[in-house]
Amino acid sequence: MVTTTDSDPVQYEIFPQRMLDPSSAQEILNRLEQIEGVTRVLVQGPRLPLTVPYGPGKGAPVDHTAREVIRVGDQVMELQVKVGRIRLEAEHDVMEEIRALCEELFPFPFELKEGLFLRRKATVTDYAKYGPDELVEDKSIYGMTDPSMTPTAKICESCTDTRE
Amino acid sequence: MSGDVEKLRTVSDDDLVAALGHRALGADYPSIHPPLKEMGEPDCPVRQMVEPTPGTTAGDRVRYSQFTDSMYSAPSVPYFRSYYAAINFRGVDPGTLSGRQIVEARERDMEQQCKASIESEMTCPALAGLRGCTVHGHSLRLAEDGMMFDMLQRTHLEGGNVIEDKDQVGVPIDRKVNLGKPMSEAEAKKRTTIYRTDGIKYRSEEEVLDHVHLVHHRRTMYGYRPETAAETAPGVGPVAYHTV
Repeated sequence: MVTTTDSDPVQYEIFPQRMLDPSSAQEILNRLEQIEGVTRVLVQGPRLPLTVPYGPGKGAPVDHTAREVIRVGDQVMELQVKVGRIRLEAEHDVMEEIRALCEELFPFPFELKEGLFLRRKATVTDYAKYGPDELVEDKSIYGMTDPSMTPTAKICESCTDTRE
Repeated sequence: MSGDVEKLRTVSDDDLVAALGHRALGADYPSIHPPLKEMGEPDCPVRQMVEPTPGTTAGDRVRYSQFTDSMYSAPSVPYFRSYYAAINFRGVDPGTLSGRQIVEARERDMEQQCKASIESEMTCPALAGLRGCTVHGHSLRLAEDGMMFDMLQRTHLEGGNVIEDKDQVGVPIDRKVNLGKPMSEAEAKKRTTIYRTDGIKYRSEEEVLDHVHLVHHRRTMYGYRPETAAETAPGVGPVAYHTV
């Protein structure tokens, strides 16, 4: 058990045996969003570049079909990764609901783990990106961003570059 | 390895040239030196003994082809591709890495070897592929449609067939190379040279434990002479090889 107290939120990781198509990812993200108590959801997987990043074909357009615009809840976003795993945080135990959902949606096996997957405290990198912990209003941003993200690539309004 | 491999598909010469992307379709082979007959070779007994390959005779450039094989039941592994190239073809320089296998040779020699490799049972179009760069899909899980991940998406499924519409370095080509139907899961498992089980605890996989014990026993007790080992490992009981 990773959580320290009963009042701490619990975190889960869904690891399907196949990497998800955008339509499947959209379906499961929307269904996860409807589960009561889920506060944060993060998708992880290999990046889908817009152009060939290196090699003799550097700069050629890729046009990957998995790089699709999906709608989750009332937000529209472009998938920049092939969804390989989904990490989420909930206010209380929703393990069985998530398991039932995965069994319903995935025609292939999957792993479902409880653990600590999204950090709760600011790291030095977070300090460099967002400033001192006491000045960060939305602390749920910790652990939700790509570590190699450039300061200009905002993922939400609260994610501002505080560096001078 | 021996060259006794089944031919499963046919890829035309033009399709192969387009997929490799080294020269324009219909163009002649560029050369880096005049044909050997015009050059006049030095008086060397080795050169007299060894007949040059067609590519060398014509003075072709040295070019490469590179294959990636998925860890999820791809028919071949990079080492077998290298054995196959080195044993069955002359003038090739195979290089073997964990997830990819490259062959460098004179252009027309390389094309001959690449064609044989891509048409044979060593290649499944969904689980292996020509990839000159970005080969990391070999160690990633397959997509839902059973294709190996490729961030440059050189191949895709279209009407049940695998279509390649980019060359091996990801530059779009103006034709669709049909590589045929992918192997079914059962067929890939039958032909694969990779041992793999998923979703089973390591300690409950008897076959793996048995083999690890055997290797450990022979390596520990017999060092570099494992062939002299007894067939029973102390504390483990009878041990035997399982060929998969």
